[in-house]
Amino acid sequence: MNASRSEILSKIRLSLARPRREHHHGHNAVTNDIRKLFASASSHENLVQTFKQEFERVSGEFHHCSNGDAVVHSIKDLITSAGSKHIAVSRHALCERLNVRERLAAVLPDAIFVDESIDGENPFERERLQKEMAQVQFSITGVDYLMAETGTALLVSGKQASRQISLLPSIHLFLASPNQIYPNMAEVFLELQERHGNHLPGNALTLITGPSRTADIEKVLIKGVHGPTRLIGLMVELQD
Amino acid sequence: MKLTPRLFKSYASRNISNPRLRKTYRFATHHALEKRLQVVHEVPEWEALRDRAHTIKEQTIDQLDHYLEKLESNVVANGGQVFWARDGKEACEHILEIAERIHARTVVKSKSMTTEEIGLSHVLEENKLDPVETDLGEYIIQLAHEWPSHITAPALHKTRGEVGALFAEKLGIPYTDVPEELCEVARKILRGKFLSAELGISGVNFALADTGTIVIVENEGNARLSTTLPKVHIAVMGLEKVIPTASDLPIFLRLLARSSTGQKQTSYVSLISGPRKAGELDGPDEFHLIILDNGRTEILKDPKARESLFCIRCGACLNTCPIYQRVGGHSYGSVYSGPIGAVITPLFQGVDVAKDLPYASSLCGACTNICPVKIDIHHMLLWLRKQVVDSGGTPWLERVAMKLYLAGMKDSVLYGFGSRLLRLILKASGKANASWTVPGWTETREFPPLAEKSFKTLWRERQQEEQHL
Amino acid sequence: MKVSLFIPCLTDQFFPRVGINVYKILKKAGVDVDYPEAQTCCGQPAFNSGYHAEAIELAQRFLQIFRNSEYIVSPSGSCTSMVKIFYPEILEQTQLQEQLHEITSKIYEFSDFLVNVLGITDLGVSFPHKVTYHDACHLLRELKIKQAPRDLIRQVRGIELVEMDRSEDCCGFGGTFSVKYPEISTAMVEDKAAAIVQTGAEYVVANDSSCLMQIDGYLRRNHMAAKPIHLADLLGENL
Repeated sequence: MNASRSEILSKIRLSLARPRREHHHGHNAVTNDIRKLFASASSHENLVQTFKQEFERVSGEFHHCSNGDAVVHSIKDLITSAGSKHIAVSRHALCERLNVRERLAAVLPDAIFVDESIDGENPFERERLQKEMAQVQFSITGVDYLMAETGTALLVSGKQASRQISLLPSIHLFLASPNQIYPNMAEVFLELQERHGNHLPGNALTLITGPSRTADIEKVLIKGVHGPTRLIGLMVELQD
Repeated sequence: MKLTPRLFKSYASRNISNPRLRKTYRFATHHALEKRLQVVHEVPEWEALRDRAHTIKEQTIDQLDHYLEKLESNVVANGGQVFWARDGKEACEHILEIAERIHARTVVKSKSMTTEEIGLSHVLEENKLDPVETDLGEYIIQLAHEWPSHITAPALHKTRGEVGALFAEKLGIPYTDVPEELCEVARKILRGKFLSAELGISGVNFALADTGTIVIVENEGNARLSTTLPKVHIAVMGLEKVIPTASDLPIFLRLLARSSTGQKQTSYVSLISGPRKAGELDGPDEFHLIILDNGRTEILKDPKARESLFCIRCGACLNTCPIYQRVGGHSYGSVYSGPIGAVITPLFQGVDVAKDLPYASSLCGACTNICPVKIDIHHMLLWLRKQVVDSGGTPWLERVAMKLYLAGMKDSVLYGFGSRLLRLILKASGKANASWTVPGWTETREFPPLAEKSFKTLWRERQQEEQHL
Repeated sequence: MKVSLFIPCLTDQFFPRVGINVYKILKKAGVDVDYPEAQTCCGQPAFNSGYHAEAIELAQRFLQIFRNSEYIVSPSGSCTSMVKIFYPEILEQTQLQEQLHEITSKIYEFSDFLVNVLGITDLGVSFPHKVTYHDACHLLRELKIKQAPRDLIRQVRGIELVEMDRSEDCCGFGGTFSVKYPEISTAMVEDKAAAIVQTGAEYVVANDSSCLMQIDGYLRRNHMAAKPIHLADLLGENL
């Protein structure tokens, strides 16, 4: 704790002893219920359709698969047409369940796969992973939540995926299932609160809405600045 | 150009008569407003969201000490470290200490108005570090040795040709003005920096007190890279950025991107609660949060000024301000420009230094109208004008004129007399219908003649007529 | 029903017909009208420049002069805003809260009064011209009046109302701003004039003489065709 801390805090307390007067510039009755504030985006109908629409609107590429073979096939095609050689696959539940890495390795014999099953506590392992990931052109992960209103994916970093796997490669593909889609961000955060109380499920959560972009030069929209140039979403509807 | 609001009048005068600059600003601001309108129309709850956001900010500021302490304890519980800095000097010194300890050489910075405010990059450079601005707009102005001309679009004032020439000169590449190509150049150069930097410095859009989390909103991915790859991450936040809970965040996020860039959501929002957690495969070894005062507690002192601390730095007020649209961000001589800049710059630097800013407004209220957290910006400008007057910052001639005006207005007999006398004089000198010369007006506009008879006179005549009927 | 006229100093000295026309319109609407002659200025020029002491004196005077009025009606959005919105701010520390509340609850800008208090939009007026309408800032953003003037205009026989691009953009007057920052003020009215001309309207209508003064000043200097007209004049001269 530093000395400035007590100085700043006591200045704050002193200042706040003088109360603000009532603000009278026409504020409506304020609702505490966050759901009311998202009412227009709260429908649970056609979530996949809404998500697809919004996802594509932000230049996400949406695909639909109904079984493991189709998933592997689609990804293989995407990798091949992109000419990617270095591939990373996360250990998200859906990726593991569909055995994505092994099955892809089988159909892409020339590809080099980066394995995220390192010992996270070992700094040398972590350094090695970072160096390898810097070469990766195409990564495949799962997601933790999706938000239909904005076409957003939420990824929590942890054993299941590093922070960088959805960031360094120029193409990022995520697998998701329809039951991961929530109507909007408020619903997701309510769910997070429900499940984890006053903690977030990890020290790094990332909300991803489309590929990386900028409009810093004359408002010209350019995709793929520092983060991925392409974001692909594969909706997997398994039959069980 | 010197970074001082004292020079507003001369900067504004110069910039407004630069046609290329006018065109650039006009296009950029109108474009932003159009995009915003599209996405705001889609949200029927927009006004309710604004009200709620305002209230959350209000309630938070009213218990700011409590929420900052809560934030600190939760960041520490998550494995982070917290440093409180009274001013920019303290913050920069602390950052230098950390940089020295970890033998940092390259520092990657993501876009942060707060670090611009404290001139961090200059301090790092002076101390032989290599601070690299990684946001494309910030990278551009770093190369150009300029300060940002807009809160969210720092290189708004530059044309593609100017960026092309800049890159050619500073990076030694063949000239191109194709934005995609310029971007590709920046991407390649900066990717190398991200991978080799020992230290990453970011700002903070929101800090969640209950979970001990900082939130960074961006489109490019440079903030994610700056806060993920280097071994040490330092986040600098103005102490007003804290909000009570994670559940409040969606409200602000629904307002921010729509107001700022006309997107429903920016490409990335990072919620960082600490360094690499046990079990994580990457992430910084150290996470430092610097809670910065630098004049904010002074602003807190005056209840009327506090609302300026609600600002979420969306830049919408800049886009809609008819003055900003025409004089541009650099005219304000402060990293914070536009309407909110005209409020906080005098509050941060003193009304004596920034006394022109509150008057550089027609008080149209478009800023207040557009502000997602409903800050009464134009009313605050009015209140700041009072501060300027009270501190003796207005010309003595004007003060005398006000006294005369008051004398004339509070005595209707004197007013009526003066009104008739003026007309007599004009008639006698044959100038009754002549054009007036009004300095500041008649150079560019016709000034109307005084009416032959005032309303008061016409009224009396009419009453007399009606009585005789 | 009795209405007291509140005629801004600018109107009194430069555009008195506006005041006469408000009177005529209200009489036609069947209302009794008086004009407390002691009135001079609401204090806005002082307040807007940061001179609160002077503004407070004039505000107190205003409250006195109009204390017995049933309604107060003014042809100026900015002056009405001064009383309704800003008097409560500058008189906050005084003991005048009751008188203040009395006054602020009975003061109206004239189009607002006609449409929303008297319920009148049709005055039987004819004005067969193409017009466009400028949203004065105080009227629009402080008093939140946007529809009432348009409702009145639409009922005028033979009139064609064309909305201009960016009708809500400020004309650049802003009181002393217009002379303190003449380049910016002129740049703003330049765009406003261009928008007016683009509609092909013969007249630009507004509810604030200060806006009209600014717009007219530029149109005349640049020999542009459109003619500014206050809504009160448009209605009152053709009753």
